Amino acid sequence: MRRNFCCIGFFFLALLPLYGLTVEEAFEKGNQAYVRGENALNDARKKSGPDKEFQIETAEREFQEALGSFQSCLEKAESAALHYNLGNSFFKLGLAGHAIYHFRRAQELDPSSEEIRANLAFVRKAAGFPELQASLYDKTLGRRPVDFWMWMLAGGFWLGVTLLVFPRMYGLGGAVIPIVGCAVLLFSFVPLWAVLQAGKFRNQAIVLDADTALLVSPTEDSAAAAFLQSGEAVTIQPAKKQLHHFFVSSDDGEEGWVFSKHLGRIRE
Amino acid sequence: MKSFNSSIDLRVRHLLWSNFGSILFVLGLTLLANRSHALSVRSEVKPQVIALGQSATYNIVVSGTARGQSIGGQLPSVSGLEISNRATTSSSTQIINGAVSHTLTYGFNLRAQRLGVFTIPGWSMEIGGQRLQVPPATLKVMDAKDAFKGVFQLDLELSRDSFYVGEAVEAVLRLLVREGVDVRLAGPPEKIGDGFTQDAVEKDPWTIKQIVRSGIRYQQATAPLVLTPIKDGPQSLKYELRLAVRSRSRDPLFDFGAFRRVNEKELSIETEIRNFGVKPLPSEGRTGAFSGAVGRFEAVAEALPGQVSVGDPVNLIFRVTGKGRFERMQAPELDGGDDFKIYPPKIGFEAGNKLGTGVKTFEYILIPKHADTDQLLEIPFAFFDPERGVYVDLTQRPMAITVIPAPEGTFSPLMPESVVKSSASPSKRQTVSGGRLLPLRTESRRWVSPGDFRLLKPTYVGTQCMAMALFSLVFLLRRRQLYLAGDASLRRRIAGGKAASEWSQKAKDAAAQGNGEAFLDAARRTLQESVGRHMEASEAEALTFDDIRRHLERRSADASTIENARTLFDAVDLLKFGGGHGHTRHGLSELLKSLNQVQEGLK
Repeated sequence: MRRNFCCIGFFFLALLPLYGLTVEEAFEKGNQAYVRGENALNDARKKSGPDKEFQIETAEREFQEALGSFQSCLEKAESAALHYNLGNSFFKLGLAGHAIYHFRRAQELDPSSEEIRANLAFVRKAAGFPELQASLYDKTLGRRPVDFWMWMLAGGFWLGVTLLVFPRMYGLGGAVIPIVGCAVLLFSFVPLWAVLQAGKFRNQAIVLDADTALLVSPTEDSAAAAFLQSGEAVTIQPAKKQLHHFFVSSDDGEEGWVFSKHLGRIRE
Repeated sequence: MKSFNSSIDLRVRHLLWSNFGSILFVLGLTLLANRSHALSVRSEVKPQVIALGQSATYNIVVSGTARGQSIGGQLPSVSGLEISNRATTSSSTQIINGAVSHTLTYGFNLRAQRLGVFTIPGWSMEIGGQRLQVPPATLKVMDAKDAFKGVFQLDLELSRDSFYVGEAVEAVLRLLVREGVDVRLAGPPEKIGDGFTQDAVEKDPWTIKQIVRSGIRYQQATAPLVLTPIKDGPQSLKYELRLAVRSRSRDPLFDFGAFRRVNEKELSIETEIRNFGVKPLPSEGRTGAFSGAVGRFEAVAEALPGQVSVGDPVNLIFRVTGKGRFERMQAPELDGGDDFKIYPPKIGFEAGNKLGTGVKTFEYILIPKHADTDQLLEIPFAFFDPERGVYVDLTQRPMAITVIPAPEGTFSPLMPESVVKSSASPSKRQTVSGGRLLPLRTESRRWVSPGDFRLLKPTYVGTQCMAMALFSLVFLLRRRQLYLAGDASLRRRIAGGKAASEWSQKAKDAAAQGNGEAFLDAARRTLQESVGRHMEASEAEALTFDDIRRHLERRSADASTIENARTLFDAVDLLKFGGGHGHTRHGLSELLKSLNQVQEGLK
């Protein structure tokens, strides 16, 4: 317990120097702390006894500092790289649920990244989750952000409509241009499908903390019907939202209320 | 006592002749099988419960008989119950593993003359010279309004009436359906009451068997359930079950094969409301080792390997077996202190064969920090036994372990990845295999507002609106252009309207400047353009007052408007042909008013 208090105290102390830093500066500071933590671990490999223990504690402290820096960035802005680094830092500190959440957020912002996908798979495996089965969408259109498909959809639609309408109005005869217009409009269904597929993550959330209680009712003193594993994906039912609780269903079909602070929504 | 020898003999003879071929076949098989079978008799009344005025059938089933054997005996008489002395007969033959078995069934119609329970006593019958005892049978006759009571019955059975919150309570849902009623379960049992949760039941949890209760035969279906009280205090609970009762078509012509029709009618039945007392888990006897486990459990712990170097991982496996609520059981919290680094446990569960049983495993990884350690950690674990109402402490005492100093300059390759540096760059091989945690990203690239996911961002919506506006504008302009190109009249009206406006403005300007000549010219052109836009055959400039008057008359303009137009044209003529001074006495302001009035008339 005293150790936990020390960690929390150190975390806040570590945040103090970050006051007034820009996002880029805090990001860089976090990276440096993380690298120092890794170097300390590297040194620990070569040592034994109290020296080794000291290096491991130093590494843990540096990872805490890196986490503090990255989280201070998150208050102002976010990026795929920031969530990726947060995922790494949380994992180094043994918090798999938070790590999985941040890797998923990073994947939302940069779905084409192989690094994010690899680290997410690795952390899930380390946390005891089965390997994710990638769907056809995940393997193809899911590698692009939903914004890209929105623009493709709009571009395809306007181009198709323009090709269908204006050539006739301006006296350009022939069947080729309308056929091309129809083809472009049909092609717009591909980005439309991608946008609809991306929508399925809208209500998905990750359980952040271990043994999160799945409550019977959205009250403080409610009994727990089951417990969720940290890093587990659940689906929020937005129609049933309460002030501090979400009604969720897990992949196993269990349903119940979860205190909102235990969940990280993949899309805010 | 009534004799029925003659009627049965007739029936048997008839059956013998009509089924001669079949009998020969069966007889042949019987001879081949060369086996003899003992005779047996049983009796039954169908249905066993009837309303007064309805009839039932008293069946005597003789098994193991050979056809053609003489049958005799005297039916008993029962007071208040009329037993028909004409029997219907049916027969069946079964060949099982070469053994031929014949069954003859004699059916007698029963009709009760009063309410009550009638027992047809056992009696003696003779078959092929052998005397057999027919067992007694019972018929219950009820008032018509009570006849259907007790056809279905749903009961919820629990072992106790008092429970603890969080306890796994085994229950049995029992459905009784009186024999002869054809029903189908139309849905799963539904719990009514929020004081309990129910574990998921199997797809078909029902076990069906026949029972006899108060002399009446029932089909009994039972389903095991596991309930968990979740709120303390008095709680009530009941179950509802939907059934579909089947009845066959009464059509005498088409009641066979594919023509047979079955009608279904759904009804729901409920158990009685059961009231229970649910107690909270007592605080007395609860220690810090209790983490929510309720039931009866046993626990063992093992650690491998027994000797490790500093920094090497030790697998500490804590296994809990038993019966109860495993979901509520949380991982014991280990305190490594300065001796061990502890990683969150990997939790596994394997369900047992019996309901509510299983094995839950907590697999910890401990890393000794120094070589002075000689024992592992204590594993705090206690559970609450609801049957005895006490907490049972199964805290595992620390196990012995040998920790030796790590060899100089080495670091355990088995150290968990979360504290191992990933020095490799993200090569293709690594990204595909996912075998290591890839290193940090050093460039943040694109920053966005935190948590700001919107499918329809303002930029996107704005762009689409602009595209829509541009598309609509081009479309409408082109369409108007095309429309005008094909409609000379419209083109003329639009052009004339514009010209009239322009000339009218010029007239106003000239009047303001006191330029009578310019005003009169502009006023004339205003009127000509205003009228000319409606005339396809003439140029506006060539129109005379007469043309304008005719137009005004067609539009039912009043006399003063026509007079004002005339005044203006006269003034213009006077200016052109008479020197220009004859009409200036009206004053330009008066003429401007006249012009405005004519324009109003033309609208």
